Amino acid sequence: MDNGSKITDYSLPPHLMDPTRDNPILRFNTFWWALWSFLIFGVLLAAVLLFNRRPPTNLEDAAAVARYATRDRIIKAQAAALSSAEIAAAMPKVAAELASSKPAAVEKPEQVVPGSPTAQKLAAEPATPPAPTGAPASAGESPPAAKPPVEAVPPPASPAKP
Amino acid sequence: MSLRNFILGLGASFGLAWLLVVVVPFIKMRNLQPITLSKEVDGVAGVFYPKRAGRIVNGARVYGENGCYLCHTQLVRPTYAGNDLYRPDWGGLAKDPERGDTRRETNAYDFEGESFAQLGSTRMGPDLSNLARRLEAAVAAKGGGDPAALLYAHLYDPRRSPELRKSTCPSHRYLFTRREIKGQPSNDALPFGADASTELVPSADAKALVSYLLAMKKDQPVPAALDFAPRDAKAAAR
Amino acid sequence: MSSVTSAAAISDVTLRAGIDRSLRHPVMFFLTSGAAWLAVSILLAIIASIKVHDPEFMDGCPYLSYGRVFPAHVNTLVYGWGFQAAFGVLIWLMARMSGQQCRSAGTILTAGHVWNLAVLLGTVGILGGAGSGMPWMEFPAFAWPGLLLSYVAIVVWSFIQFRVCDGGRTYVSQWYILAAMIWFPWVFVTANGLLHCATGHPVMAAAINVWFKSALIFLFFIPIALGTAYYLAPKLTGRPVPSHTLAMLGFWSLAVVAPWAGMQKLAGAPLPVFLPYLGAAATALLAVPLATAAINILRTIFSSEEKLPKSPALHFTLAGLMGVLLLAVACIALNLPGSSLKLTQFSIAGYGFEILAIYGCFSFMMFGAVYFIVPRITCREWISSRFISMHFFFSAYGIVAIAFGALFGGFIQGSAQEAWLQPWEMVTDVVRPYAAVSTFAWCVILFSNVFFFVHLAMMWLRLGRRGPNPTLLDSAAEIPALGPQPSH
Repeated sequence: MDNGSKITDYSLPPHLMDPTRDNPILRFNTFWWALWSFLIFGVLLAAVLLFNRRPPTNLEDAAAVARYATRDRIIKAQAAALSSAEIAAAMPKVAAELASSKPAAVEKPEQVVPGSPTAQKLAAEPATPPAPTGAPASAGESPPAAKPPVEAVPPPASPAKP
Repeated sequence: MSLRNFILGLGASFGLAWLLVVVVPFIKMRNLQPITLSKEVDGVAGVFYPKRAGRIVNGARVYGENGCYLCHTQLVRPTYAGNDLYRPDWGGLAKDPERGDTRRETNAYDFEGESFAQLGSTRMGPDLSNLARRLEAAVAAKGGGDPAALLYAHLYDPRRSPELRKSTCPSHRYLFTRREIKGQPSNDALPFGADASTELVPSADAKALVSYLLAMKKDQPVPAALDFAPRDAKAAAR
Repeated sequence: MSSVTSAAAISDVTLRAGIDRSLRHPVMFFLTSGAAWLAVSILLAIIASIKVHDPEFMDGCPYLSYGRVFPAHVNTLVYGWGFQAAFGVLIWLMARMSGQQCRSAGTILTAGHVWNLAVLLGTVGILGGAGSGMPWMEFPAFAWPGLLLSYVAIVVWSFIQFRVCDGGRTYVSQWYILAAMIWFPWVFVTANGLLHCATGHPVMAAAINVWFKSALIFLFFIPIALGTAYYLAPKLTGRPVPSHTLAMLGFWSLAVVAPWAGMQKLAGAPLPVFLPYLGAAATALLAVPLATAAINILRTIFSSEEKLPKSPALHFTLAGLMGVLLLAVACIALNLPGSSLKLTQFSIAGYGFEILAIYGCFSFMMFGAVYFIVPRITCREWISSRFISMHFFFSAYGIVAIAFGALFGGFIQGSAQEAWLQPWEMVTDVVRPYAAVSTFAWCVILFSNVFFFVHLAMMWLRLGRRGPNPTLLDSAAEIPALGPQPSH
């Protein structure tokens, strides 16, 4: 601000040095320059914030990304599975088939309901010799061809309760 | 030097600091990316999110309005900046029954949900980062109780409990109201100060504050990127 | 003496009288309302300080709970007293140094009332439980735009006065005061804009808050104090400032270093690591501009072979300069990372440092300016030199007690905090005596300022002594001003 190396004497007060400098236009201009100087960093800050209006990163939203991904996967898998429309479309056909077919008789002994006519019929058949289990109890007996027939286990006296 | 150059000089010297110390860090920290966890290194997948349950926003407001930050801090400093981590119950619990040594320094994700981190200006009272962990451990050691009740009693009369006779915490009696007992005593009522027909119950502000304080558990396991525990401790933990 | 010079001297005196007359109402308003807020602040400080060692004191009143009364004390000290004293002194100094009368006294007075209203509402807000929770910015959010607008309406005229007579030569006081006038809105708008109007990371918000606190001290209060001292010292001793180079160095080093300081209060926080340590380095480096300016002005004062004039303003300025030197030492001593920073970071040393800056440096310079300015604008002299002595000595005792007590006590408290094997109760015990010292010191300061308030009120009521001789501290004959000094 000062050109000299030390503050020098003032012989005249500044306003008497150059009286023409003071005028209303200068004052008006200076007023706005002063306002600008005061507020310049506020304006710069507003400009910076204007370019950064996106809301800051939210951890909740970031954690939610994984949840949404899982949810989308599940929905997609469910959609790829049998859809209800297809089931609804196939149902009348299958139902008609089922209704028109007679139930087939059951053959395998383990599927037979105890006490039913089929079970009693099976029981009345001659007992087939059971498959040899390799039990050593009949040691010293004659060869299997002449094995005495094992008695069939008698069916239970009363039909088993369902 | 003219006035214009003077102001330009001021603007340049101020503006450089303004940019590098205030504005750029503000914008960059605003966009702090969450840390993605990886199954191999951290054991779980997802994002590091030390979630807090409680009235964080309302409670933080009451905390600020009543000047708790003047005497309490919420900053556990790394060991190069202070001895906070050495204390047995500030950064976590040194002897947690399930996890062993859970102590850690504060990280940038610990203040999620607050708009102004109340890091504190002075430490007249202890650091509050893991207050809830301390309270729950104390309550468990005593065989049962309610940490919220401890906090309500402390806020009403800090010097009531024998361990805290010399506490200089101000009494926040104004956060409680005396009201008539309707039917049976309220669950939140203070265990003292009641008479035949009235009891002391916490106001909404007190409840929010206590809820905020009971969320003060900042010792969750951190991802490898934030884990600065010494290697021997990590090996011992494994 | 040529006739031109004597004619110039007479017009000089007339000019000065005109300036003083034009500024009488605004300046007296700021000084008296500032003094009133100082009284309020000291009372609140005493209450707060008692509550630290005696928490049951007045604990039935929710409005005086420590968490509200302490922020109210700090904010009334800064915004109620600090800024208004600064306004009163700076508008007078800038007018005198520019040789311009004040044409906007009405606007300035109105803006001053708006400022007071904002501070009053803000203080009521804090005590009523609506504080914002941000240190040094605890006024509720509505206050800051009002403060900013009234600030601009008060100081812009001084800017215009300076510009209008920019005759190529300016004095070092003008640089400091102009810079302070410009820096404050920059700092204020940045901090309040980012903390109240923008959303960001909570820890960074805390960092900007501590930056604001430091910037307010080193970019407003200290420059105003130094500018005032640079004006008063040559005026009162008649000696010139010895080194223009040192003055330039002191000013520009402050401008370059001070904006970086502040964030050392958050060392160890989850912030980019360079921020707190840059702040610590900058604060320590601030010892350079502080010491440079203080030494320069002290050399001015002590360069005369005659005895120091017993001017009250000079005594206060000298004490303020001692405060500046002590502040420079504290800047270094409190902020050495790795040793003292971790001790003082969360201790009462921070409070001691701030009070040293606001009261020990800034307020003493302002008292000096008040004792200089008020007789000139009221055309009366101070009534009692004993009142001034009482004000001076007890204030000095008080601030020395607070500064040394809090700074030393802060180190003790910090060491106790770092002793992690000891229970926390030890820290409370260790702080108690220093809190008691602080209470006593604030009482002494209140006592000293009672003399100031009474004296100032009497001058305001035009009850001062009429007469040609200024009131000096030992009522000796006045020493006329000799030699080069700042114009007007």
